[in-house]
Amino acid sequence: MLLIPCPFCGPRPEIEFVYGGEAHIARPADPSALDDAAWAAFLHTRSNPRGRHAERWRHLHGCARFFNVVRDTVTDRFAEHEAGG
Amino acid sequence: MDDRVRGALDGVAPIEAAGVTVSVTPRFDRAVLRGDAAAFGVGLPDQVGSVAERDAGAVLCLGPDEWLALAIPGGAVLRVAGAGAAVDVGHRQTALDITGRLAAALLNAGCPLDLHVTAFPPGSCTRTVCGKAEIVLWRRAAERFHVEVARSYAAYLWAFLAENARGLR
Amino acid sequence: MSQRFRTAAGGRIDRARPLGFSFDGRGMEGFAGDTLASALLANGVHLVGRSFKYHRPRGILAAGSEEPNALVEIDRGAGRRTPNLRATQVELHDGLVARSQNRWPSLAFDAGAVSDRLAPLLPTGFYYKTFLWPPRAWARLYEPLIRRAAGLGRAPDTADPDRYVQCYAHCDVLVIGAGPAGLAAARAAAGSGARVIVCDEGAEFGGSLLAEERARIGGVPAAEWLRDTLARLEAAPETVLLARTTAFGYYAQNMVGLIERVTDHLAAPDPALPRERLWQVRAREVIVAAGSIERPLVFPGNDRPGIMLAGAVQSYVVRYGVRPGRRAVVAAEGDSAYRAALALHAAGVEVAMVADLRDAAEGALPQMARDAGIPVRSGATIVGTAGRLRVRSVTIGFSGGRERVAADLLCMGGGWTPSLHLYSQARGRPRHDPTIGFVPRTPVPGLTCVGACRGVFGLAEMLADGAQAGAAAAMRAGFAASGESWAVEDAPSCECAPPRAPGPGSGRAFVDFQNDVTAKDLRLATREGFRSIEHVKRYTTTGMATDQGKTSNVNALGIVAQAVAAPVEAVGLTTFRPPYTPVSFGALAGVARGALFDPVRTTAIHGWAAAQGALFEDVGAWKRARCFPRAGEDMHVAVARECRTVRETVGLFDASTLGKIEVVGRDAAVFLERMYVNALANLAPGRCRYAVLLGESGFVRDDGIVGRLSADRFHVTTGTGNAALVLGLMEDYSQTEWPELQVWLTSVTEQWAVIAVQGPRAREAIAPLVEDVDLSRQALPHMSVRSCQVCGVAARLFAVSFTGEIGFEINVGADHGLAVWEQVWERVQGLGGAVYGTEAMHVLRAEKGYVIVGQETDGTVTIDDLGLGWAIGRKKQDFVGKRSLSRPDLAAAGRRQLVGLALDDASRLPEEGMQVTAAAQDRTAIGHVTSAYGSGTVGRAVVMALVADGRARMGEIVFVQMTAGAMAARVCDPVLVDPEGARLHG
Repeated sequence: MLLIPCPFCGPRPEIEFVYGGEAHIARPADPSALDDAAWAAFLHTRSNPRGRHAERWRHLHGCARFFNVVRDTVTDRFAEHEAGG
Repeated sequence: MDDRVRGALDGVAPIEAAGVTVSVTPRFDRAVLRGDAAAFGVGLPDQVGSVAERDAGAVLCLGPDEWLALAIPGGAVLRVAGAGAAVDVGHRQTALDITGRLAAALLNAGCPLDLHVTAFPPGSCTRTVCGKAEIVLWRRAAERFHVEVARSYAAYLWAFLAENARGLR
Repeated sequence: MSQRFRTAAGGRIDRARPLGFSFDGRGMEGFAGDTLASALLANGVHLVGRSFKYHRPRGILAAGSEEPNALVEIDRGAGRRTPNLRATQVELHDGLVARSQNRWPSLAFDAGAVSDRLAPLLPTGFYYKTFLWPPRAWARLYEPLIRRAAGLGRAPDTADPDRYVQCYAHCDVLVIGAGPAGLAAARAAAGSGARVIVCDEGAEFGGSLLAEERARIGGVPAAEWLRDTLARLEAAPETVLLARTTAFGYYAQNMVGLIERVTDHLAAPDPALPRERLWQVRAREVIVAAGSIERPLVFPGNDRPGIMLAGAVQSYVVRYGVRPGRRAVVAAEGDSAYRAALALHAAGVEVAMVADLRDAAEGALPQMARDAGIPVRSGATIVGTAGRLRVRSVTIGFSGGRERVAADLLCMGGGWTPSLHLYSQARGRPRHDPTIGFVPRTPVPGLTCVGACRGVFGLAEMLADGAQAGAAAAMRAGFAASGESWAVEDAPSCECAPPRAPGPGSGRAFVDFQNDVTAKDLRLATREGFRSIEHVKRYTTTGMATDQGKTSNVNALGIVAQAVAAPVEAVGLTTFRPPYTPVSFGALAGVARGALFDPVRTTAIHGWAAAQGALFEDVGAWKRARCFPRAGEDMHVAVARECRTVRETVGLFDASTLGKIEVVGRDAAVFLERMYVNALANLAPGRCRYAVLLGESGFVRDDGIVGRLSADRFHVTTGTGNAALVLGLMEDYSQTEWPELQVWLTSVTEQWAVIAVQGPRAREAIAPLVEDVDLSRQALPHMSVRSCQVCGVAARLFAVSFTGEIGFEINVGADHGLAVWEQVWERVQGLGGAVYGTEAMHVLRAEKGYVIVGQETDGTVTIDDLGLGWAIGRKKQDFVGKRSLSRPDLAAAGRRQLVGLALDDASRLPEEGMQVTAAAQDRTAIGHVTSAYGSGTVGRAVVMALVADGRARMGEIVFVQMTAGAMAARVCDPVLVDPEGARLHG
C-alpha cells in the first residue's frame, strides 16, 4: 500500500485515496472551439510515461481535496507536491 | 416527537472486552461548515486535523475549508455571514465512544493510521477508514476516541468492532 | 521404546512435559519445545512423505521453514485440516494429529511409486510433450490423472471454523529475524526509545543461538546473552516482540506483511483468540536479518530419508536433544558442517567419517574434529547412496578409489545461501560474490540487510553488524542510539564454501526436492535451448514449488551456468515474490467473511419492512424491500397487487436510498447549470426539474431531481448506486476546473429518510400530516419542493413522481424516519392503500417509459439514444459532455434508441439482455432488451429495448431471441400508461 503525501494531511495510506488520472489536463475554456481531433485528444490522450508522472489524487477518506503530485512509475516513489489543481 | 427519535444503534449494549469498551454516544446535533473560517462568526480551528472543544460540543477541522460541528441538541445555531455554507447533518451520522487501554489497538484492526499517542495526540481529528466503513476519528484523550460513522454503516462498524474486540492484544 | 533417539540430557525441550501425538495413526510421544519433525526423529521416524512427481520416499531435510520434503497434514478436527505444513515448523502439542501426504495405500508402500521406476519416461517437459493429442482429452483425462498422481496435500472440504484477524501497526524500526544479528539490531534500536517491532518465524527468538553450545558473548554463554537480550527487549515499553510470525511480503514504502500464528501450537486454545493475525506494518526503517539457508549437495541418491542438512542435524542434536541416527557420515564442503559432526559425536552418535569435498581441511573446526577422534578425509566426492526407505550406506569416492560406508544418517554441508527474499521483493538488486554467492548490491531506501542475509557470517561479525545497523536505523528515525559491542569467544570461524556446481554423475541427483527436479532435467533444458534462468525455471519447474526453491535455487543456477558455460552472475537469479512461506486464505480474508464480508446498508425503515415480511434485494450495498407479499401471495401476485394499488389508490414506498447532495453557495445555480444538461439557472426557488448528467465523453452518467430550496441552496438527488460517483464528479469540477465558483457540496443521502407516497389519493393521504403547505395542484404543482413540518418534524416535501401518478416524497431526518413512516402508513392503510417495493416501482416506472440509469444505460448510451434530448437547455453554450454530443460517432445515424416492444404472445416475458434482430433467423443483433416486466395495467409484458434507429421503426416487426426461439415483437412507444400526463397533473 502506497504512502501518499497529502498536502493537507501529510503522508497517508493509499486506501484513503482515489486516483484522479494524469495532472494538468485542463478542460478547455470553450470546448466548442475545438475540432474533433483536439477534443478527442483532451478526452483520451495521456502521456503514460515510464518514470516521473504528474498525477492527481483525491484524499477522499481524509480532507477530500484533490491535489497533484509527481510519482515515479518505476519505483512508485513520490517526488514533490505541485500547487493547484 | 423526540420520544420517537430512532438512532441507527438504539438499544445495543456496549461492547465490553478486556482493555476496551465501545458504546453509542448520546445524540448530537451536527453541521458541516464549508468555506472561509471567517464566514461563521465564531472562531474555527484552522489547522486541518485539529479540534476546538466548546462547552456544548466541538468543531473538528476535517479539511482546509471543511469543519464538522458537533453540539448537544439545543446548542447554539451557527449563522453564516459570508462565503460559506452550513448544512445540517445531524441525522446523517452516528457516534461511538471507544475507551480503554486497547482503544487504539481496536481501531487499528481496521484503521490504517498510526494512532500512537505521539503520532495522533489527544485533540487530533481526521476522516479515515475502519474496515470497509468511512469514519471521522477524534481522539478526546489518550485512551478515548470519538468515532463518527454514516448511519447506514453503523451496524457494520459495530459488528466489525465487536468481532475484533475479542482476543485483542 | 518411546523416544529411543532422544539424547540423555540437554536441549531446549522440557523433558518434564511429555506430549502425546500421532503420525499416520501411530501414537508417539515428544516433549514440550519439540517440533513435529524433532519429535518424529526422536522416535526414529525419518520417512515422512512421498515426493510430488516420482512418489519417492522422503524424510526431513531441514529444521526450519526451508524444508522441502516433510510436508504433512495437520488435523485439528472438522474444517480444521491443514495440508502442506512443514513438519519442521509445526510445534508439538498434546494430542496433535499429523498425517503424511501423497501416498496410497500407505507411506511405506505407495502404489504411485511406480512413477519412480518410470522416471526415464518422465523427463522434464514431459507434460508439454506427451499429453498433446487429442486436445479434448486434457480436461477429461490427462489433467485429472496428472492431478491425482502428482500433487501435494488434500484441500479441506468444509468451511474453516477458525477466526482470523488483521491489524495495522506502525513502528520506527521493524526487525525481521531474531537471530544474533537481528537481536543485536533490536537491542540497539529498542535502547534508543524508538518504537520497535521484532518478529521471527520460530517459536523461540534466538535463531542460530538456539543451537549454539560453546560460544560465549560478552563473557557469558550465548544462551545467557540471549536471555538477557530478550529480557531487555521485553522491558522496553515501545517494543513489540512477535514470535511465530513470518514476514511474508515486502510492499511499497516499507509496508511489510506479517503473519502471526497465534493458536496452532496450543492443545486447547482460548476460543477468544484468533488462529492467525495478519499484521500490516508500516516501518520507518526495516532491518532484515533473515539469515541464510544451507545448501544440499547434489549427488546421485541425495534424497533418501536420513540424508539431512548438516546445520539441521546440529540443531536437532543441540536444540532438541535428538540423535537423528546411529552412525553418521558428514559430507562437508565447508567448515560449518564440522559443527554437526562434533555435536553428533558429543551426543554419542558414531561419526563414521567426515568426507570433506575440498582438497584440504585445515581450519580450526576440522582440527577439533580430528582431536575428538573423528575420521576426516579430504578430496572426497559422494558417488551414491543405498537404502529404500532410509539411507543405509554412502559410497564415497577418493582419488584412490571408492569406499562404501554404512550409515543411517548423512549430513550435507553445501555452504550457506544468504536469504535475499525480502530484499529482492523490495526491488533490491543483488550482485554475485565469488566466495559467498549472491549478496545485496543496490541500496533500498529505509531497508538494511544485516548478518548472514547479506553475507556476513561469524558470530562476532553478525552481532557487530546488527548492533551498528540497529543504532543507525534508530538514528535515522530521529532517536539517539549507539550500538553495543561484545567480545565473542569460542566461536571458531568457519571457512565459507563458495557455491559450486556439482559434477555430472550418473543416477538421479535431486536439485529441487519438492518439485522432483534433477540435475539431469536442468541440463536437458539447456540442451533443448533454454538459456535464461527464468525460462529454465518455468520449463523444469525448479524453484516453483511451495518452498520457492529455498534450498535449490543456487544449486540450479550453478548447474545451468556450467551447462551453458556462462558465469553465474550472467545467468542471473530468479525473482522472489511474496509470500516467503504460504499464507492461509483465512488470514488474508480476516474478519471479512459472513456478515462482515461487506457492509450491508439499511434504511431507517428497514426493520419495519422486515417485520412486515418484505422480501429484500441488494442494490449496491443497500438492502431494499423488493415487495411485501401478504399471506398466500407469491412475489408475482404481490407485485401485481402493489402496482394496481398505486394506480388505483395510493402506495407507500421507502426511497431513502436515493443519493442526495446539498449544493450551497452564491454560485450554486451557475455550477449546476454547468454540470447538468438542463437549464437550471432559471429554476425558481420552490421548483424542481428532472435533470440529466453526462460524462465529458457525452454518455449518460446519472439522472435525478434538482430542487431549488432558495436562491443559494439546492437539493439534488442521484440514483441509488450513483451517489458517490456523482458527488466525486461534482467535487472534481468544483475543486479543479472551476475553483472560482463559490459552491460547496455536501452528501445528505443519509441525513434524510425519504417516504414516497404515490397514487391518485396521495394528496389526501398526506394532507392531515403536513403543516403550513397548501397541497393543492395550483399551489404545489408537480415538480415542486417546500421546506415544512410533517408530523411535527422538519421536512422537505417534494411533489415528484416516478410512477406517473400524483406523487410526494417526504424527506425527514433519518432518526425521525420510522415514526413519520408509521404515521403516513396509518393514513395510507386507512385509504385502502398499500406499501410497495422496488419491483413494483420498476414496473410502474417502465409502464411510464421512465429510464433507470444503469438499467437502460451501460455507459455507452447518449441522452438522445434515450429520447431525452428535450432535457437539454437549448440556449446553453456549454455543459459537461456537450462538446462530445457532436462527435461523429455520437451524432451518427444507426445508434440504438430506446423504444418499447409489444410481444405477439402476451403470456411471454423476455429477459433483460436478450438480443433483438430484424428477422427471426438473423444472427446479427440490431438491439437488446433493457427492461422487461409483466404488467397487469397494460395487460402484457412491458419491454424496453435499445434498437438501432428505433424511433424510425415504430410499428415495425422485430424479433427477440428468446431461449425457446425468436419471438416477434412490434416496435412501439415506450410510454404505455397515460402518455398525456393527465394523471400526473391531476
